[in-house]
Amino acid sequence: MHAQSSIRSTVFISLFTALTAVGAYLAVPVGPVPIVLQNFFVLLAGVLLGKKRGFAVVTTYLFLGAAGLPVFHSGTGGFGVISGPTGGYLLGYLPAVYVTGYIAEQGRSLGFTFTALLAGALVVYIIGIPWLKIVMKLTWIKAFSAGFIPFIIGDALKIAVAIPIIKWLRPPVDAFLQSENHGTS
Amino acid sequence: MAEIDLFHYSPVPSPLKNLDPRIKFSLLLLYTVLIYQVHTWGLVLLTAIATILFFSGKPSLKHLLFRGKGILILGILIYFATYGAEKNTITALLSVLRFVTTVLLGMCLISTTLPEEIEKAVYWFLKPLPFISASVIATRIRLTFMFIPDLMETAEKIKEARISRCIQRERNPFKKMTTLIIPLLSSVIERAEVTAFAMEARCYTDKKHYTLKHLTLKDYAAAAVGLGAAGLSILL
Repeated sequence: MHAQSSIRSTVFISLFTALTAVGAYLAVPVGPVPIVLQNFFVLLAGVLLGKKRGFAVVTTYLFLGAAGLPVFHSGTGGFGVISGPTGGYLLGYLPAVYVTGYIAEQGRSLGFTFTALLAGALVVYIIGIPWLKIVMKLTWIKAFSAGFIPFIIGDALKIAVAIPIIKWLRPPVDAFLQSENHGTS
Repeated sequence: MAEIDLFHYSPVPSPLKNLDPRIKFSLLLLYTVLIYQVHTWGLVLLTAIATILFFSGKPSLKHLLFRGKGILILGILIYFATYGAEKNTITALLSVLRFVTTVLLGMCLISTTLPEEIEKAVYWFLKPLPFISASVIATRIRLTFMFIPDLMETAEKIKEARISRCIQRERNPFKKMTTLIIPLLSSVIERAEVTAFAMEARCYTDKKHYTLKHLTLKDYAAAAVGLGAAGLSILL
């Protein structure tokens, strides 16, 4: 049973890692700043797979990117991207997915799901904005106006879209991973 | 979506295909670190190496145009984004070179190495590290490499279907996003079931035994040349 459950976890973690990589290439043109779906899939992984599997998704994704494969935004990759201006956002995915997963595991109501997504999105900025400020030597106002304000509408939209999608996806994902919970308990 | 091609194994013969995946993976890691550390001429050398390695795979004109278009568009975007922030043409051009070199090196590895070989290389690389299951992570990476081109193709088909239904002109951003994400996630669930059943049917287990080949003289020679070029790029 455990081997079977482990396979299912591995498959879902790999699929969400692939989705996050593909999300870096998928942009929905809404307003002046297109919405890139990379962090949408990170948050979705946190809510649907939980904190541990979500963390594994982001770790695998960052490992692939750090190894130089073009899975980060705009088809970039390598340690240089992680140590660059946007590296804080990428590293911020690790605590973000954990926090999202942790809150989502506390309850399944709309309130918990919304709080989990909002907290996850904010954690990315809590790490990303100071990192951007330090690397680019910006003032706090400039760091906020370059690294936060242009993305508020997009992130609000992502959360709004994620809620019905999570409601629709949770039953099949839970059923698929159910054996994992039985196997490890 | 030219990016689909970035993640495909190429059947075309290449000298890189004969090399051990551990050597290729280790050199890729080293070079992707160096790209952001070396000075201008060092970066030019690394770009030249990446270009030669890429063309050693004899990419067809069709693939070249297909790949080149995507890289060119992203390169232009990176140039203007960097120029906007730094107001310096040289810095912007170096950013484009870094991007192009990273993509070329990544493509060299992916197009000449099967996902199973990458899995073995990752396992070998992670095995000495404590507290992590190298075989589980290696399997995840192999599966991810298999899923990325599939998902990109699915996303491309969805985009084409959206264009034929004039959804691109839709003003409602909510509908714009859901018409892309929902079919993509449906395919994810289907793939998860098919892949898990296939692995279960083959009695997959986490405790895999990997058979790693012995390194040949050619592998050692390639490692020496790769390390020499890396050293030279630091000195330049």
